[in-house]
Amino acid sequence: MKPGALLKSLWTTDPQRVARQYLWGGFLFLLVGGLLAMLIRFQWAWPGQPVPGLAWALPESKGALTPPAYTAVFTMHGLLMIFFAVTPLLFGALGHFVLPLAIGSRQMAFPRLSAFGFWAYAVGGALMLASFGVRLGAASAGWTSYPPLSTPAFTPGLGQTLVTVAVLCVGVSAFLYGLNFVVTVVRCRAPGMTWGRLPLVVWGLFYGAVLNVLFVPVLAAATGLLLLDRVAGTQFFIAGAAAVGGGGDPVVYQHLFWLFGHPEVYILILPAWGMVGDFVAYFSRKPAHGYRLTAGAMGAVTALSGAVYAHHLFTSGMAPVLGRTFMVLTLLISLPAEVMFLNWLMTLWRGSVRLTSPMLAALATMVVFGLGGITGLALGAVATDVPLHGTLWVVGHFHLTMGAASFLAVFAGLYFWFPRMYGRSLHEGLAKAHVLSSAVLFIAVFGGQLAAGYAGQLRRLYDPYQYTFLAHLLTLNRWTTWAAFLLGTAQLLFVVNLVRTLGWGRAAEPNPWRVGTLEWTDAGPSPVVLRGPHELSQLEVQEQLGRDWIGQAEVLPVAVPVKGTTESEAAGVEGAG
Amino acid sequence: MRESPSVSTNDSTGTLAPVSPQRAESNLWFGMVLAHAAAAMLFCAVAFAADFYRMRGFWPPASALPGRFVPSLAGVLLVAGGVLLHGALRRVAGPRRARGWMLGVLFAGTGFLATQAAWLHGLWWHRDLRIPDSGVFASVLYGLSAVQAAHAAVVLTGLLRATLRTLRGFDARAPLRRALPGWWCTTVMYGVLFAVVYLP
Repeated sequence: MKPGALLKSLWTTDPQRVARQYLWGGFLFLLVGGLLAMLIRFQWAWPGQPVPGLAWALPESKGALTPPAYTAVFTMHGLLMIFFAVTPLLFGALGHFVLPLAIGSRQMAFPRLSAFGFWAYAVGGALMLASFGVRLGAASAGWTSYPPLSTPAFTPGLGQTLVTVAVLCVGVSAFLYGLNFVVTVVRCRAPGMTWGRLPLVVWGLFYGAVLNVLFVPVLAAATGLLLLDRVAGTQFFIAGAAAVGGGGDPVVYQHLFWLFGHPEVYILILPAWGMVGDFVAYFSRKPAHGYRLTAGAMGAVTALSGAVYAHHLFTSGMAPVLGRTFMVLTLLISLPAEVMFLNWLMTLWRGSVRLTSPMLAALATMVVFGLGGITGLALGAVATDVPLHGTLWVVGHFHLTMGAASFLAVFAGLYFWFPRMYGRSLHEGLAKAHVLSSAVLFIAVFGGQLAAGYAGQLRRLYDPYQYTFLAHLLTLNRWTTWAAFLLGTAQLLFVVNLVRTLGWGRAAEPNPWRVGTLEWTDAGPSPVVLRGPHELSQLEVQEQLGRDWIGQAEVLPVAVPVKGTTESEAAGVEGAG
Repeated sequence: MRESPSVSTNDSTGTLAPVSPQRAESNLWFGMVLAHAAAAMLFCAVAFAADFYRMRGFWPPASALPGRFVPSLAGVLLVAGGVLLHGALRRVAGPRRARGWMLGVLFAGTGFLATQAAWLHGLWWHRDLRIPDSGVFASVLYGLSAVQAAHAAVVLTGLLRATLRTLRGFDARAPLRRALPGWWCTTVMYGVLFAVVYLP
């Protein structure tokens, strides 16, 4: 390939190609983050023992994780998984792929921003990987980078600085695709694609993008000030003996970080909820129950998500009245989530359920998010949060919600859209085995963490069994570690499926799941949308077309009103885009 | 790897309906408004940090409290620039009539940045208000000023382009309309900065 052509293919503004770039980038960091997770689990099962095959990286300790190496490992695991794997896979890959197709615009509002966003992400990723190789090692202050631990006094060396810049880079990327998604959905929808006809995944991506636009700048502020503290001598978060001339306060960082950090949970889960809502309808062959209510509940969660963040700070010495306020707001957010769950269950009720791989992954997402949500109630209430704060209970909870649920949703989306993305069909049997084994093992691994946390194990201990009250947890942690190793091994099912399909897979059918959304139906360059995304099993359609689905922009041979919308009405619909 | 089979995966842009210039412009305007909102969030986060330090009770350090005349003058320049920008937008249909107004806006914006730079330079060198010796007050003063000035510089660059287009006889209504929310956003930011840093 000529250099010019290579450059052109790398600097692409086609959202489909950008999506694939994010996909491979996300997979790379998922692999690195996953391997780091295995190291953490090994440490909890066999603390201080040499890790087989790691002597090349840690020759002084003959492959055993030293305390500094261990802190670097769990720090980098969290940062890579959240900022460089799951978020880019959901928004960068699936979002760029599906959003412009599903709303009928086929292009983003600002194509060059998409390209620039990907390269900001790539630069950030490169800095993350580079930080492993610098003197004094990678970042070691936890994924939240709390000062004073993340200040030069406690984490010297270039590693933490590089990681801080990397987070800023990935923040730029997230902000750019967030802005692009919002403008694209608001301004570029096809004629007739009213808000009430958007697929739920588009709602999820839209709300998530709104949160990105609003709250990623807050992360940028926190990270930017931290960077200034590290390199320019400012005193924003430096206090106590390290401060000069009246220092700042590390708790400010915590406020700023969680003002972004809690909406980030919803940034990750909103597209996942959207996918679940759509897939449950598609594969129950029914319209989504309570579509408007589901979209509204997602909006309510979006609105509330910025107002609950301080439940992460219950133990920071905040005023009791503030604690109670944030507790009420936090518990309040579970109500719209319940509405969504009930709507999904009602959609399944008496549906003609087809357990395809995307459907299995969607159902698994529901289950693990439900478990994560229920265990989160204990952290939203002040009285129960105080003893559980900083334990593995918190880790188990947020891994179920942000990790497992988002991960399974990524695979639900990937299994669903892969035929459209690459023109080939993944092997269904392997895909189902991958989803089922992942779901069961996720529950085993994070359930084990919840149990250990409830027993009092603190989350970042190098060797928990130094404390006699935790010594009895060794057996539990070893079992959980074996489950984690199995979970890692189960991902080979996906790898084998992917390689097999890309190399020798059969051509995909044009619409293998038999759904009517615009990305699956050839609606021409200027589609006019006539109906909602879940018009399944309609009698009129079955009578006239001999199938149980109809494209969103497909004209029925005889004008029969579908859900109260005639084609003449739809043609006169005010141009949404 | 074999070639991709029959289903085309790269057809997303091949058959696109063209986007009208008006629609592209309104998309851009909306995007700019969102970008300014995001910049405001970033600024507010830093201002929140500053307020947090103020609430702790030793803000601002009596020895470090700078005067308010020059910062007030800078604020007046920003407000005046905003008024001139509205005037330019009203008269831009006739490029010749708009030129003076646009040059006035540029003058006000550049004057604001120059005043700020000279003032902060003076504080640094002549009042010894330095980082890190002057503690978190100096960090907030310079940090907030830098974020706000960066935003003002971006808006000013857009306006400079619009003015050059006008001087060459092009219609500059669209870039001017885009600059308007940015200008007022930067003015409000400065108001917050003034309140946080300079008011006791």
